[in-house]
Amino acid sequence: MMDLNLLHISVWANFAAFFLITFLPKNRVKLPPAVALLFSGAGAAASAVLLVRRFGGEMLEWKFPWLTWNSAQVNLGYYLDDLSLVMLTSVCLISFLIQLYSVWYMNEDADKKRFFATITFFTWAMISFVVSVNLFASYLFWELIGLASYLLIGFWHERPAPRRAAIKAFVMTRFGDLGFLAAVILLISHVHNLDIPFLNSQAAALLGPGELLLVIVLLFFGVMGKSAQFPLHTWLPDAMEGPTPVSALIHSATMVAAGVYLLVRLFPMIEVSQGGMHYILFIGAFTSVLAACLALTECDMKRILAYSTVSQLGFMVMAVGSGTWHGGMFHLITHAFFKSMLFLLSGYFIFVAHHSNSIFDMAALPLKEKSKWMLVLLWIGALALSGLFPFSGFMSKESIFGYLLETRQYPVYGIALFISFLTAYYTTRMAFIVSKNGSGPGAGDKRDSPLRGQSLELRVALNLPVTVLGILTVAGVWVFLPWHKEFFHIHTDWHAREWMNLGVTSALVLAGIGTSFFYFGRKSFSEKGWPALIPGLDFLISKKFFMDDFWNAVMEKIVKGFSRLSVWSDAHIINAAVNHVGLACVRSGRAVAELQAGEVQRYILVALLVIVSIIFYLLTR
Amino acid sequence: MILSTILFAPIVAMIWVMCIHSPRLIRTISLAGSLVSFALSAYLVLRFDYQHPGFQWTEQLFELPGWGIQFLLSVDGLSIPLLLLTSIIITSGILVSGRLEVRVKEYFALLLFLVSGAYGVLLCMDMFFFFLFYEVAVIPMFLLVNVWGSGNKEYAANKLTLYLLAGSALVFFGFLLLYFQSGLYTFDLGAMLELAGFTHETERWMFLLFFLGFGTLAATWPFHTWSPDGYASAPTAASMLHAAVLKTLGGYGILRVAVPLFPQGARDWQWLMLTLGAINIVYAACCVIAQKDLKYIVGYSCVSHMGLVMLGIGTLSETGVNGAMFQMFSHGVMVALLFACVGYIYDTKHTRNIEELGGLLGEMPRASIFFILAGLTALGLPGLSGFVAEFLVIYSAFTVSPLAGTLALLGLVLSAIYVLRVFKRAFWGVPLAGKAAMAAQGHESLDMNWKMVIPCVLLCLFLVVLGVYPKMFIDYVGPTSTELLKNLSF
Repeated sequence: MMDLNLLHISVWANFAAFFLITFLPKNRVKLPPAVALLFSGAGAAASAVLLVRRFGGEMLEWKFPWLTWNSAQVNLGYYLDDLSLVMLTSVCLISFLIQLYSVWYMNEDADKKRFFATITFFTWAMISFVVSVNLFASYLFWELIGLASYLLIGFWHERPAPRRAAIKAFVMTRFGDLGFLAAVILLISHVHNLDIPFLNSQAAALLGPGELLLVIVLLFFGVMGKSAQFPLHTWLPDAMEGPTPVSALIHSATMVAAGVYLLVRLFPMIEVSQGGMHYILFIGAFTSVLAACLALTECDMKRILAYSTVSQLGFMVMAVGSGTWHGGMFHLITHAFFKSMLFLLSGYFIFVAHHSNSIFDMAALPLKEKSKWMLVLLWIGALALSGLFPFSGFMSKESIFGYLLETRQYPVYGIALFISFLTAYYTTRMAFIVSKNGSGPGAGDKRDSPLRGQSLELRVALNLPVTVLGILTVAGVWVFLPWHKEFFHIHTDWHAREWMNLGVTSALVLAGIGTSFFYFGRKSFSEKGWPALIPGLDFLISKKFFMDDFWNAVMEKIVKGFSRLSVWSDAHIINAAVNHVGLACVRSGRAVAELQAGEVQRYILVALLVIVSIIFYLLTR
Repeated sequence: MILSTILFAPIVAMIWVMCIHSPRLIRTISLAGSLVSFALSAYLVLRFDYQHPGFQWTEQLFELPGWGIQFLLSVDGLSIPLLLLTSIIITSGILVSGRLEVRVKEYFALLLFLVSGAYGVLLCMDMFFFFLFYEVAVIPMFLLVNVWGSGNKEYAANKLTLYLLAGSALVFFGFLLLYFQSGLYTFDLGAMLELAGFTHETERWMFLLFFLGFGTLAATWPFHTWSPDGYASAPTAASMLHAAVLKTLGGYGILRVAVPLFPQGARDWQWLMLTLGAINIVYAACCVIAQKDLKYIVGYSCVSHMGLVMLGIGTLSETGVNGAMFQMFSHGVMVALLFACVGYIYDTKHTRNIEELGGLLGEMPRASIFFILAGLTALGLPGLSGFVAEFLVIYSAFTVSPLAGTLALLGLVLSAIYVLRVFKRAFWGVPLAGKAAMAAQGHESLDMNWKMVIPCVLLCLFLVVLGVYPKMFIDYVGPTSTELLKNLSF
């Protein structure tokens, strides 16, 4: 009972904050952040207590019927096992930290009320999605997550770019959601019960292999949209137009994590279909390589991070597709921590660089003197993302590599190594360039801190979240290792194979870092590095592999074309026909009216004709 | 007494309104009349024993025995929710007409007359009066559009009226055929249902006749073009009432008359209902994407949503019919809210072209939030009532025709595109008029005042409550739709 109440608190705290903030008076600008922090802090605390109390214990299920019709029933409720518990705690914790950071970031913004209302709503939707007991309910919250991200990406709607990005994000994920909804419908009509434990234990047996494959392909369509997998990945880099805390939230624990989490959640069902697994594996690997390539020459810090998110998500999807949901989930969690930290840092650096996203503008700043701690954290995040020992990214990637080697999936292992190399390269490229420590404005003047004039609370709101995330990135996995190694299937008894794996992966990561140092770490550095040397690659990257053009063409040519066609046919076929019928009535009326024109001769003529025809009729009868 | 009070309250109010001059009093009396019906419909909703469907209240006022005509009022689980819907819409319609200045008396009298027609159609179980009241509802609409309308109003009024008359003429022709063909010489629908038996052949053509007649009233493709034109020209309350109630009467008629009387015919023409329903959804949604006038946008999206009603009925399954009934209710509330907001925006900014609008969210936050909430219902966002209706219809469409189901699913993306496009153009961004213009108008806030907010909040409440807890509605209408479809299963 106690645990259920804790769960209620951690789920509904953010909603309560949303509700309260919505009805706060507009002129109390200090209140919205305070309410948001208070409630989401309570939620995070409750979830942490839950984690301590329940992790490794039995699962908790609580539900009530939400909608019933003749053949099926949809339940709303919670399903809390170790998987959702881990995810719940991460989401609560990370979104609390990000909300804290937002206090600093949104300090200047006039519309704090709208921002904090939406961000707490976003967190609530994600948490509800995570603990949802029923796949249909998952779909409900999945859509609400989409709505919240739309509102947040378009938060600065006075500018045109965020408006476009928001619509793109919503429409593209909606397009993917069609697949999800179709899968839900297919499942309901065959299985009648969408409770996740039931699906995981029974659905595969109740569905034929063909139907199961169809369900998985359709479900994965939804995942492609939310988790930005090829070919529906193009919305995510554009989503950078939102405020940076929003990017941090979208890229770490909410939104994009939802897709991978869904795959992991339904893994026992998906696993049965060999074809479905190969499909997932293939799309994940392809996305991962493609997005990593896109990040190679990018100069916008947020976009580098965005492409790396797409790439890492592809990596997780690939891991799930290859059979290790533990690895995929582990990487999802560690990635959530260091990626949110990197985004929060990027927000700081962009602020320092006078709202420029370009890493070369940051390179011109004397960051080593002014923001040493932030640079240290940036390097921690970058190395964790690269997967270097002893950072958290290393552990999760290692677990995936280990599994691939153990199950002898050598081609996938090769691809994963390649991705790892690219990741190490582009991440450290960013870090090397940002920490160039140029002699830009303000160099040498010790008192001219970037945060000059900001109050203590604001400094805490900035520094505390990134520091906590940084500590967790370095030490988190090791401190909690004895505790979670069972859950994530982490080997601690190492043999020759594990050591060999460690050697190979570390060598590739170091190679990536080394290459990056060669091009960007030294005094004179190039802008693009080796990708510029490969003919065609630079061009393809600059065109983003034509995916944006492809979707623009779909929108402009196909959708708008159909729309023009319908409008044309409405005007020129249907309405024309209607108007002609109307006109024909009027004309025939006029024609008949001629008979009544008052000319006696005509009346007599008509009368005669009638008489003649009657006589004729009578005679011929 | 309850039923006839619901029906006659607006008529009494109308007569009263015609006898007085003070605009203030006119508004009060109209509101009082509509509130009486509202309260009584709410009472019916609460007291209706939904587990035992059927006609639980019946009142016979008089009859003409020789003609087989009687003034018979009765309600069941199909008409009660729609009665409630009608009374909500007329109440909020009267409330949002607060800024109207021209010929106030005639306007409110006609609105009340219109709504009494709508009540009459829902209440009368005698086909003669069913038809009579439908005509009662059509004629005031012609005047409302012609006198208080905007844009190309003469054309729109003629088109709308002639179309609806043509549709109802088909229906009346069908009623006469029933009267004579069945050999019962009665207009009583209940008696007809119990006693009449038709051959398969007769059922086939009779169903088609009724389907086309009621389909025209429900703006089924290709008989839909009256609807966007008509609503674009009609004054706010008239478009609210017409789009929300009179259009759903088409679906109501099919469920009430055509499907129970001609079950075999319904089976024969199922493909037609599914096809036209799916075409309605996609075609009208495609049309919206290219529109610029807010009223045309709402008008076409209304046509698109009526396609879901048709599709739901076309599945001839309980789930589908539940979904269709849910959609009738939810769409009615949603479209009324949309028209209320659009009407307000037009009154304030004197334009409805989304390219000339912009930044409304900053300028009139309340009106914008209402519009956005209704728009989100239109795009089928979970948590709002539209989603549940759409889901039920699409789900049952998949079970009978995956193609129709897929098309309806596509409608979800198209509706997202057109709704977000409106948000982007009209509501987001920087106000085009700018703060300077606002200051020039004497610091007057452009936003809705509380008199406008109350009806909008009322409508929003229904959208949210039904979206958050749809079980209420589905449990309520479920047994009724089983009852309506019982003739189909033999």
